[in-house]
Amino acid sequence: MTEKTRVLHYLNQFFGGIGGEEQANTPALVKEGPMGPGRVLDAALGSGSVLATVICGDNYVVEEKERALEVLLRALDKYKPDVFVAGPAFDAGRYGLGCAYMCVAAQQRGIPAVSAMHPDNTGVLTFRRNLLVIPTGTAVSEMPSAMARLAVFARKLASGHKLGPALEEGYLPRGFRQLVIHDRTGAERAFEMMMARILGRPFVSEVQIPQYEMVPPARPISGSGSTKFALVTTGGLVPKGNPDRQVGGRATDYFKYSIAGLTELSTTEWESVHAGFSTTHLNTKDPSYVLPLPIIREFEDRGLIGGVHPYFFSTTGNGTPVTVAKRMAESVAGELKEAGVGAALLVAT
Amino acid sequence: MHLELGSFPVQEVTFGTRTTWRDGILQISRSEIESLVFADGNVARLDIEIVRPGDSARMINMRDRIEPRLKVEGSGVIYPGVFGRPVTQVGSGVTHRLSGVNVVQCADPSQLTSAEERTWPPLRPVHSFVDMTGPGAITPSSSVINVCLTMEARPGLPGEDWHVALCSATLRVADCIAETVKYLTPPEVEVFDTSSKPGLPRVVSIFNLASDEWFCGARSVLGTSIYGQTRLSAPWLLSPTELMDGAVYHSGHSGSTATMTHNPVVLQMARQHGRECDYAGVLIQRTNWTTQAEKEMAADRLAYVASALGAQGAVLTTDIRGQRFVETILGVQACERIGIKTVLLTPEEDDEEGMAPPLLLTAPEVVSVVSTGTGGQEQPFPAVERVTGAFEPDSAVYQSKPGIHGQYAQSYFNDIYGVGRQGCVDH
Repeated sequence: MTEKTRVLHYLNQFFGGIGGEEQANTPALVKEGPMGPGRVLDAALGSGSVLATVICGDNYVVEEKERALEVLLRALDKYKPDVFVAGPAFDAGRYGLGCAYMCVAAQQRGIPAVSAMHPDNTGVLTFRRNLLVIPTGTAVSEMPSAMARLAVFARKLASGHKLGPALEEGYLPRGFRQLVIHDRTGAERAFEMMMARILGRPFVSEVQIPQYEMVPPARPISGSGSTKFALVTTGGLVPKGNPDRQVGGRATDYFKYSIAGLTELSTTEWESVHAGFSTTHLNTKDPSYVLPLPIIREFEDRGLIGGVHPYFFSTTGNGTPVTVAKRMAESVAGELKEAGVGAALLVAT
Repeated sequence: MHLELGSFPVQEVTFGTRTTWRDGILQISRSEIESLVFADGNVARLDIEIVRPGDSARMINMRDRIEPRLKVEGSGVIYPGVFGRPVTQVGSGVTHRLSGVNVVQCADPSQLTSAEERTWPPLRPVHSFVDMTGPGAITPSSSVINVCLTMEARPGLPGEDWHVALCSATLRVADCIAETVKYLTPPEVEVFDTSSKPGLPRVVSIFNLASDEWFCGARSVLGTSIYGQTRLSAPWLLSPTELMDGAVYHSGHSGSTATMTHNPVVLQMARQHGRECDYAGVLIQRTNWTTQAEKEMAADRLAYVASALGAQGAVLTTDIRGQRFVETILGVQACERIGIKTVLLTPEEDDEEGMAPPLLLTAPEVVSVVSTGTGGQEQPFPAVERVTGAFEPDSAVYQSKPGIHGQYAQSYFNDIYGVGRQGCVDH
């Protein structure tokens, strides 16, 4: 028999044997040895593997997160486990979140961690990138099989095993993609996948429908007559000569330029440096193609809007990584908010 | 259609007094190549170099690569419709090819006098560089012998004329090399009979190929063409054998003509035609429509043609990203909605350390995807002894280069048609 895997386990108040919802405010505590379903884990890993169990109420872990984590960290220091196991939490949202908090904290201490829960559990949805999670269904009757799989992962993590692809290892994709070399070419794999679909044979897509961050549309503006508007464009519009040297693609910066007192844009003073669409019309006829200044001034004159912010914000929306776009957008939004702007017209390109 | 494709393998290329092929050895005459390249007076300067797999060599400024092919029997000429060649339909009869050798066109667009033209996508090189050895030796160019033509056009040519000068000179050289096997018996023959095979699953391949009409204009020769036609147009149906005869000439962007004549998706389907599937043909969807309504209309036309052909399944590819990817996804959706099982074969985006999704856009109908990776090559590229593709390469070009992570517009090898085995998986 090889050396035992030293495990610290996390359970909520229910699985920890303290009580149901009425005990959800139970502060975090530590009990020696395995508790409740932890005994299944202990048996799977060899009796005595689960050194101790951290138990915490579902409300407490969410509302008093920092204090709950202090208990965890003291337990980690005391028991020095090889691996931290949390749950399974199935589809219980606060429990899942608790497992996620605990796992992330353990990992930050250098202790590998694994949990098990339903793919739609808030814990997964919130901490996907930082969390190793084995998928479960919603039924507690799956406990034995979930524990058996957790035991396998606990052993792997404790031995320093470098995890392979999510699909092969059986954990939920964390949003990372890694380059691999397959046995067959892309064209061969595509043909086989197509034939499998036609013939009703099983197939596995190499890109699962990913999690896109949805941005809910803003609510309609009430009282636009008193709302200050701002113009924002990704059309690469810059003063003629491009003084800030904005780029035609892969922009990492935005610039703001004054439109105070201007009612229209002329091609002798403005140009677009965007390299991803035809700028001929814009640069020879009408720069308002990406910044509709005349119409917004008309709205202003007619009192339909409560003014125009004296600066417009401009970047080149062409091959911009998501993270860079987010950083720029947050910065622009912050500036607009500070200037009392209530609505922005964003011209996308 | 019925095409006999005879292959003459090339194991070695040498310089000699005449241009000939014999027993796998292609001998090329420097003076003959020079006189062909300089024939119309539009090319002012030329270097010819032979670049072999495993050489410590780096090719830069690569604009296209061509496999020498020749029609021996049947109508039309190889690479029809481009630069004044006849537009007669190809795809039948007998075609000879030299396998394992490419004629590579290298030119530096900084020669262009117009600053704007220098940035035009169809005039820019398709790769920043290609290595023949080390971790970079993963492109199709790294496994063939390259007859690398480094050219400079007559000074002052406008962009389009510059392009025509270089491309037509390259084609003249490829034609001359292909002529060497005109009267010879090919060591290998592959027969492609495209008549329908009832009873087998009917399939199509769908290639989204961007058109540059939106900024080059309707009459321009710039960009990818079909029988020389570059326009943004309704879906095209071609026989796989027409592609083998060079009906799609792929210049600029991320493709190359050789990738279209020797296309891995076309070959895979054509070889399974009559065995596993009934290959109805190649559908080409030109992309770069402007409005959402136009894009949706084009996607519906595509799906309608595929269904009228009786297609039950499709492999669909895309050649540039950005708004073209919107059209690509709309195409998948339109096909799936009328019951065509459509596999999207595509490179993917940088995951930005888990912060960004692998595809720019998706839809519930996108259920079967094959990923050819991000186009990255993470290992550093070692220094090389030789650089081709420029007359006076900067010394920095020889030096080692950091690995390329692979992300939007920054890939090393953007594998559109799944020629390679690389891919990405979830972690």
